Amino acid sequence: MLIALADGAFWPWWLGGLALASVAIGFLLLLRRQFGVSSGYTRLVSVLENPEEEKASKAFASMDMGDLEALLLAATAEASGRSVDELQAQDDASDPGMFVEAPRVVERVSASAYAMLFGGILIGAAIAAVTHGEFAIHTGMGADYEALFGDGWVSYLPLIIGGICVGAGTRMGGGCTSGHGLSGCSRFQVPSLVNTTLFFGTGVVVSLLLDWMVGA
Amino acid sequence: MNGKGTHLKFAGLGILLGYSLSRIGFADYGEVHRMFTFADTRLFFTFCAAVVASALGFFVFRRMTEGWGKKRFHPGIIPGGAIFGLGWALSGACPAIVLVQLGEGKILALTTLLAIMLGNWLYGRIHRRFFRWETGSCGI
Repeated sequence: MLIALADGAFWPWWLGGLALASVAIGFLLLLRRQFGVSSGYTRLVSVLENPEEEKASKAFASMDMGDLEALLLAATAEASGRSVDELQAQDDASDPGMFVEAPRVVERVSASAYAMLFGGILIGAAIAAVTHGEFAIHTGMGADYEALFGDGWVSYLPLIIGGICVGAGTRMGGGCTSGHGLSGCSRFQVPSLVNTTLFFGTGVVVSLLLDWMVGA
Repeated sequence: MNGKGTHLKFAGLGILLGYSLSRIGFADYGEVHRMFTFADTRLFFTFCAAVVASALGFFVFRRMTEGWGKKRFHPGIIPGGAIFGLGWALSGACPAIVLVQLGEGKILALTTLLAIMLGNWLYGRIHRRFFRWETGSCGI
């Protein structure tokens, strides 16, 4: 261990910051992708909603470009009432041609790759808990949570209502702490800066209200 | 893109993320609550340091991000952020954190996980029914 930390102490801000940044830069260097977790939920939910769509998307992504062009040509011929040969001849005769070069299709991340990411997060957290002797089956969310919401059936409501808000809000905004907060803000994207300010700001207001309501 | 190597990279980055978030304390409700109430600024500075360090990384490797394009400003940016913030303050979870909580053995987080999936699904239906805009980011 390079850094001496008190037993069970959380990481200092700079170490945590470097670790999270290395995940964002890791996505760039290893996968050439932006790091974002909420899009994984959208992907997995849409697969649960419609499994056929995932299969069709995979088939499309692995399709040969020549085959795709031939299919598009056939569809154009059918729609326009002209023969494929006639269209092809017209394309060959004209410069630069009727058919533009098909742009490189940016392949979507498959649902199974997102499942690996989610499983990895779960396992990584379990490793952290086990190696620090903190792993245990907890039936509550901790003393700080119970101080606000108690431990009866009412204590489920913030998790249910809050969870629905997290799922709906991140899909509506098109990103969460990782996609907008980390990947977007660090590239100075204005929509991400606005979204991040909003979710942090709302979090502050709601948390202060909660403290005020319980009289803390 | 979606071969075995890609899957292993996703899993490896997930493990690094899950381990880090757990040791940072982002999955602890009290820590998150103290960040939002300014009782303890460590988590907030952690996030700021992550943004600054990532910005440096993106600057160093700027040629690799040339094709990424800009994030679109669509009508969901503002209300979406506000709704997410409300949910995060209530449940103590963001989309990655809920998985960290589960990994640490907090089985109650299963409630949050299912609720996040329900919320995602609900908004997808609402979006298709009532809204027309393109989010340009997560393939709605």
